Amino acid sequence: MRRAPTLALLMLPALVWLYGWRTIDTVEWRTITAAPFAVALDPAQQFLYGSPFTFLLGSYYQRQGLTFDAAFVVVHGAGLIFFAATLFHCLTTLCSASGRAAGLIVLAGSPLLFVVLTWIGKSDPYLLSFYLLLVCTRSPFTQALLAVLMIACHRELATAILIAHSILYGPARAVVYGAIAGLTGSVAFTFFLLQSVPASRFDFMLANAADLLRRVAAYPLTYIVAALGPFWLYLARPSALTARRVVVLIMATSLAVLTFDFTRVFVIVSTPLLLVITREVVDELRNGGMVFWGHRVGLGVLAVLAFAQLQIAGAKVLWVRGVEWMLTR
Amino acid sequence: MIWLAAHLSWVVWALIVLWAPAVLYAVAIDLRLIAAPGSGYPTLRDPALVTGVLQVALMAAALPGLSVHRGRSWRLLAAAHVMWLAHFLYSVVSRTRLDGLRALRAPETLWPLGGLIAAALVLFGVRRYFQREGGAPALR
Repeated sequence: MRRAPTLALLMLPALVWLYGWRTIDTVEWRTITAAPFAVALDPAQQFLYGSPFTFLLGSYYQRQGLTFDAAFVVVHGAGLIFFAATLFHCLTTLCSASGRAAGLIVLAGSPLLFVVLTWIGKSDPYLLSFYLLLVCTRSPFTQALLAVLMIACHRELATAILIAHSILYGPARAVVYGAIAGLTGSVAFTFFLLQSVPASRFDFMLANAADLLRRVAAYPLTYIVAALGPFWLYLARPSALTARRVVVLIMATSLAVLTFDFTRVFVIVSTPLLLVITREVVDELRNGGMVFWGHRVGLGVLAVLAFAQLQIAGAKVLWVRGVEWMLTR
Repeated sequence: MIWLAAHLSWVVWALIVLWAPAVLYAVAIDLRLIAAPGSGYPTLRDPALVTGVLQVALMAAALPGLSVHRGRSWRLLAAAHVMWLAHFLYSVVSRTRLDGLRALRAPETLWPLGGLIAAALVLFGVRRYFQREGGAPALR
């Protein structure tokens, strides 16, 4: 545990460099932020209007005089800084200052950092940051407010995270009220403030369900293994798998199948579970090491394991920079 | 009010994130680091820019003591509010000279006016929680 801060400082920059970062949805960003209340995107992309937080923020900065590109950098740069700050705060609260760095190493075993860095353009850093704050706060009003903000960031994923949170911790009245207020606000925004009602994600899911299921069914194990990467070692232990956690995993898998996204959707929906497991593993590390199949494993091994993450993009399995395998010939 | 007093540092952070990029962007244009039409004033002499920069700087200076409710932090926020008021008055006078009295009824005037009043109400509402010089324990 004493080596944890040094290990984290060495591991994180290497992880970021090896796995890289990329932007996404920049064209959609330009279109929506230029006129956030006019539905101008192609129907397949119109679901983006249901999650207006970053678009409204970008539109606000453009009204203040920033260009499209500058507003994109400010909104998503601030999102990444916000995510780093809230993750630091959350790990300090959950694992204490002495276990914070170890918590970071354990959490780096999941693709959470990869998701935040390779989908720059999505509202995920804000969504996750608000959730990390929700986990740490005790004020019911603040919890409700954070739930509303989460839904403004991403209606469907935020709802799934809040359901997963309620399954793991028990339903908190403030979170339920916040979710109801957020969903009501989101529906009001979609149906009354936008110039026309956009096509929803469910239209895409229904139209493509058979095809999506066929693609997942061809390589189910690869998809599941890649979904959490080395973090499965912490999670798939008899002591860690309780009924509630299995329910969360089933929910995350179902949503990942329906959206055909076993990296981003699976990881984000599983975030409450990742935090619970991280805290447990840090407690085990304090007591001499994580017990894995009867053997104690130290922090150094866990730091190396974080580099064993795989991602699936279409028919390709990706590892670190430029290393990839085709699933089909 | 007690919730606002306990979370004032978060509110100020959010406002800085909303306002600082636009102010910094305007400073970069003024210093000709970014090629865009400027205000026409000599470099760093535009009153709107100077008051905007001072307002954000005072808010940032107030941040370290806000979570422990230092009286000094409240006073810095009050000074930032005065800068905001100066910025608002300058903008309104400028717009009125260009557009006449109808500028007073424009959303560009009414929205900041609403914000100024709301911020003043919050500032004076939380003042009693920021009386101690050494700071007070975190409010629950």
